[in-house]
Amino acid sequence: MATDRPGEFSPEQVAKLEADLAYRVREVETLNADVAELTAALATRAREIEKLNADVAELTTALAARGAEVAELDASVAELKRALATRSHEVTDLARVVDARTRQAAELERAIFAASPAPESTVAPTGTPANAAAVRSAPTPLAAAPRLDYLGAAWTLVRTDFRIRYHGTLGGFLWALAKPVAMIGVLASVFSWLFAATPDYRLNLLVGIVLWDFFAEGSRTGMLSLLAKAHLIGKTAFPRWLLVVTSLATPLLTLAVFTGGLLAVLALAGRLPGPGPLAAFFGAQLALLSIVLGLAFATSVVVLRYRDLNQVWDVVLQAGFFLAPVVYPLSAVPESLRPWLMLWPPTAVLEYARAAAVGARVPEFATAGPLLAMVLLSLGAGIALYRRHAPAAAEYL
Amino acid sequence: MTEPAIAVDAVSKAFPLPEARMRTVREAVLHPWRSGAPSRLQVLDAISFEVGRGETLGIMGRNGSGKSTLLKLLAGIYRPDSGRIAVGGPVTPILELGVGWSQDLDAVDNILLLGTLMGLPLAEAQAAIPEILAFASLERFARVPLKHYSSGMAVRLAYSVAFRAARDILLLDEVFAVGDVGFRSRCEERFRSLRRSGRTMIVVSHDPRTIRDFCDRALVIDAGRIQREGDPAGVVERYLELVAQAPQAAGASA
Repeated sequence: MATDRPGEFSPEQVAKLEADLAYRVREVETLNADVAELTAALATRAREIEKLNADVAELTTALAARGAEVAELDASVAELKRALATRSHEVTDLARVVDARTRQAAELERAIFAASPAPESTVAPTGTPANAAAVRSAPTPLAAAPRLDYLGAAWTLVRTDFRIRYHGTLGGFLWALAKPVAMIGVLASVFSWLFAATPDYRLNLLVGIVLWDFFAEGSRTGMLSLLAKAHLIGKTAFPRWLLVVTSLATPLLTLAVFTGGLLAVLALAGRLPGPGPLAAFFGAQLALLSIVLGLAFATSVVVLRYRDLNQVWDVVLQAGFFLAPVVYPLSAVPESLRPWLMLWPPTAVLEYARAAAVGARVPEFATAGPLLAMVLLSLGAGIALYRRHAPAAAEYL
Repeated sequence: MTEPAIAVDAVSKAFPLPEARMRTVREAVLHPWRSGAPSRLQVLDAISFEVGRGETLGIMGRNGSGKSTLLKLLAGIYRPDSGRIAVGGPVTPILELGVGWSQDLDAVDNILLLGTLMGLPLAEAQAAIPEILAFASLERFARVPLKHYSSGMAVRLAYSVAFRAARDILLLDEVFAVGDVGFRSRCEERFRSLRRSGRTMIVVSHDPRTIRDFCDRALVIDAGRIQREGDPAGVVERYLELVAQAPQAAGASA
């Protein structure tokens, strides 16, 4: 190869290079084929993976479906249990019917036996079958149809009121007592200075506020007693007066607690009145309760027609608080005005109650007379108004 | 034939239209001369029918046709303006069920309240609490105040109480229109068993199936009068005619 020159190839060299080139080309082709093959394999794998993923998804849904089925079965088991409970109730029902029918049959038998020995004397021959038919088709006394359980219903209503107003807790109830207590504290400290010369001013104030609080609270809740339970009135027929009467239970409870406190204060002061005046004091409370009850009967139906009556009543109570001798003694008012003030019922009640509880004497009939008249007037007018308008109560709600 | 369980004789009822009525003390004081000669809406106009003992009567009618007013008259909640209603036994009305709970009280307290007022003795109402809750499937929500209930739950509870308190005569307003399938079938079961035990029932419904499947007899009310009375299939037909006639006139609620 010494003859070699740059740029020149011998034929052998050319042949070798060509062979080499061909070999390389073939190699490249092989590699290309490999690449194609691998790509195809990769695609297949990818497809396989996709398929597997799909399978997984399918299995997951199947699993969820099974879970739902299990839940459904659980639900139907619960349903069946309930149905069983219902059925057992039905069985009791039917047993009652059977019982009633059996009793009827026995009665019928007795009636027939009683009738047959003397057919010509007491029962006409055609009388027995007719009677029997009548007995057979007589109404079956289902569930024995008891009258309303008045006490039970009243207790439930009172309990409801207590729960709603005081959230059913003693704490809630104590909070409700806080308002009158605060009022007593403030008024006692402010006005006892003003009326320093008046004997027993503080005790009289205590009696006054306790009774006034009941009058105000009782007349307010009594007025709204039907309105507040409108949803019950529209649903079923029951004596609506239960609503009016039971609405006074929570104010009455407050009155009882404060009366206890008042008696404790009197006892501590060594001024507990004897049995006579004490009875007179409770008599005054009873009179107040009757007046409030009469007012409640009257206003509970009137407020259904005149919906703003409760706002009007709030104004009346505001003025009435000062019209009644709660914070001032009646003796501070000119003699000529006193009989007029006595026309406002709380005034009469307050004076009577104070004479008994603080004055420790049984008041003379001259004070009891007007009180009794007010009680009768309030109850009479209240109940009359109520009876006239209560049957249409549902139509005004 | 003994006397019927319910006899309605020429009963009429009208309501004063609310806007014509003096509603406040303020108005009464300011306009004492403006006497309320209110325009009145005649809801029922001399209606008469009877229901025999143990019979189930269906009542159909468009919205505002007076069906619910009729039920309230029968229940003694309203009084008729004229005419006479004789009811031969204690009545349990099942009406206005979606509304009317003491919202702040829980299911147990509400059951006691409604149950006793519907005539269950307190002791019996107390004993029936689990059963009533089970029937409504509301055991888990026994101590939840009603204000947190869904409307469906509240209705279910009401049915359960009323079905438990059921006495001789039952008045049912749209009885099978509520609740899920399970509850509805339980209601239907209970209804059938009450019917079997000889109770007298009046069923108000818009649903032709309810009237056809559950009633012995039916009547359709429109414009305050009975338009047709007799076998349920014929009554349903008449009702569908009425609905087709004036679909746009269905304004007031039932």
